[in-house]
Amino acid sequence: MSSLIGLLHLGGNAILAQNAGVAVTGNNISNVNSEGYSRQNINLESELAAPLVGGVRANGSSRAEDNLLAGRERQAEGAVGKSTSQAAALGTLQDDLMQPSVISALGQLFSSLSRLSGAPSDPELRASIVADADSVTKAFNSAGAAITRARTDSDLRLSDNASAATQLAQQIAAANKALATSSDPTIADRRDLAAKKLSELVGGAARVDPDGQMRFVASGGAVIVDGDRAASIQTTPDSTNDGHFKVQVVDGANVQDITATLDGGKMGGELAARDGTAKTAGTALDQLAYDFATQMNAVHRANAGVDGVSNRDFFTAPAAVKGAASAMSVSATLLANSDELATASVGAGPGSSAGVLALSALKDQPLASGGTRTFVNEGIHSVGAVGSDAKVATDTAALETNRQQVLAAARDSVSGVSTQEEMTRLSAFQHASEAATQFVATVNNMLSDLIQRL
Amino acid sequence: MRVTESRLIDMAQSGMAKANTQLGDASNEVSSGMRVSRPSDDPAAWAEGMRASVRSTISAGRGDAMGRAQDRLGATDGALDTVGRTLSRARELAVQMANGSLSSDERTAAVDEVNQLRETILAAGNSRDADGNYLLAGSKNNVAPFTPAGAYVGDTLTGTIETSDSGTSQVSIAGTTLTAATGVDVLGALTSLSSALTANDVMGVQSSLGTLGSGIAQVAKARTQVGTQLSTLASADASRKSFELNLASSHARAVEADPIAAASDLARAKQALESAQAVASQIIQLTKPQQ
Repeated sequence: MSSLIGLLHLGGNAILAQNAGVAVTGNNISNVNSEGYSRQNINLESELAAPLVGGVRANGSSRAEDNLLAGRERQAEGAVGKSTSQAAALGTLQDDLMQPSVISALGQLFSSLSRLSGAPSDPELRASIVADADSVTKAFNSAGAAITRARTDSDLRLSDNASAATQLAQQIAAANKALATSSDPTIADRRDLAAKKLSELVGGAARVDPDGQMRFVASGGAVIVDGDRAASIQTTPDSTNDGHFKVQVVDGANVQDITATLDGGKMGGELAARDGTAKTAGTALDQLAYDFATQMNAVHRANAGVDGVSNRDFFTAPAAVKGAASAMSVSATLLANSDELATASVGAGPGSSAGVLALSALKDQPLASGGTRTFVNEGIHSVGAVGSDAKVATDTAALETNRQQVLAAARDSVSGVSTQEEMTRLSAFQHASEAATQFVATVNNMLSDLIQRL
Repeated sequence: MRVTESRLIDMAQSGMAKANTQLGDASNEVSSGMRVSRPSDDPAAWAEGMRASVRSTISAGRGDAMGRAQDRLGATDGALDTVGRTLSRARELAVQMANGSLSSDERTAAVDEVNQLRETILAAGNSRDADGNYLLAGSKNNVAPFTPAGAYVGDTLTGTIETSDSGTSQVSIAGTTLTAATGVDVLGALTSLSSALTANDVMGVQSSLGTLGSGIAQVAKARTQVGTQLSTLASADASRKSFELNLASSHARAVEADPIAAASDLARAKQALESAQAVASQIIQLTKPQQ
């Protein structure tokens, strides 16, 4: 049988428990817009009913969480990060490759050569050919610079992302350490948020082990966080890749190069754009510039200018395929004197159009891409390949973003804060608290009565 | 499924962002008239459009070359017409002077006209085009092909231009059409007539009749050649123009926007944005805490 004093105690505990519920609910409402916050539930437990009633007590709060959904959302973040960064990098590159366009410049040069065949000795037309050829070289130079710039920009973003990833890894490790001795749900929230952001940067997956510790493995398999130990992600110039950054996971003395294997997150996207599409486009562009200059020179050397002299180059002979686009230029002497333009066959007068026709005929011959495409078609193919990859990345980004939103919605259905729900819950706690107060008042009255009667 | 207010607002934001993007794309399509403006819009269509555009540019260059060649061939035909008519006049004179009843003085009086006719043919043989190039000099078009003495110093090379992706066309004739290399040395024939008249050589005058007749036929044949080249060029130019129309059509089909479809897309995108805004407004009202 309970004593009145015991009942007062029970009522007091009930008020405290409901107040704790109000506090947790208030905390949920306060954090409704906090990134990564998972709503918390007050754990109200019935006290042991000995000898008659036990009452209630607040046994802390717990996070509303679903680790499976959180894991899937992190994976989606990695896929979104990769495709969006790849789409952005390639979108910029394709726009840069179009201004000025190598393809249009080649078309204009061949058009002018066709025009010149009707009046090979016309000085104005000859000068316009030289000017058009100069435009072709500038378009190649610009495209070469655009590709170099795109790859260098990727390096800068990789470097920034590596620093951010290292900080996030350290946050996860610190949270793991704190959670070993604390069950503060806020720390778990922060750890999950850091893991989500880290996934966006490096892809991969995070697993929470039975001991509550999170282990984060980047796409490609490198361990970034293991318990309270965090590796750092660093970028250093790679002499085997034109000085572009390689990405390394450094854990003490252990250094692991993950450049070739990191295929997720923003860093994976940057690497795919830099070492995949942009590098391929650069190689193709250099080869095109080399083939074009070499073939044009061969024909030009076999014909003669209006001064009857042959064996002169149209373009400065490229030293090597690599870098040919950036270094391409019209022969300095031709640039200064369009009479050197070899429009005539050797021995013929300046009215001969044999040289012009031979130069012009190059446009229809499959002399690029290992003898499989014309120069113009190779230019279209190279720029088009960048556009195709950009489109695939953009389409993938849209799909992955939709998928990520679906998963975010699913996770939010478990962990998100609904203000309407919280307001309802707040009312429930308020009413329970009021009832408990009334209960205490009643017991108090009973106790007063008893004291007066004694 | 439990849906929080934050998620509802996120969904409204996402819906508006998508609608805004669609409206931007549709507006851009309507204002630029282009459905495909960069490779990633539609790689295959962009490539087709670029190919059509480049081929059209090259074709325009051919068109200019054909125009200039037609002008030059027209001028060449004019020069040959002058040569032909002058030779006919010389033959008329020769027919008159071949009459045995004419006196030596009458024949001597005709010499000046024959010499004048020779100068006319020499000038026609050294005609130039609008750019100052000699029409009948072969490839050596910067030097007068006929010397005052009547010697031909040009060459036999003829001009050729590109008329299509796989075709070329000859667009000039060499001055050898007026020399013994083709049959009759036209200027030499007039020199001979002049000499015969000066010498009152009736037999010589009579024998020049045949030579002049052959010369006239030779010039007529050359004019036919020029006419054929002009006709071939006109035909090639017509094909080129038709080809360019096809290219323009290919380009339009590949990358240009259908104005009606674009306007319709724009209206639809506008409506979608308005709907998204209305939904967002409703969601904000619904999620506002009640007083």
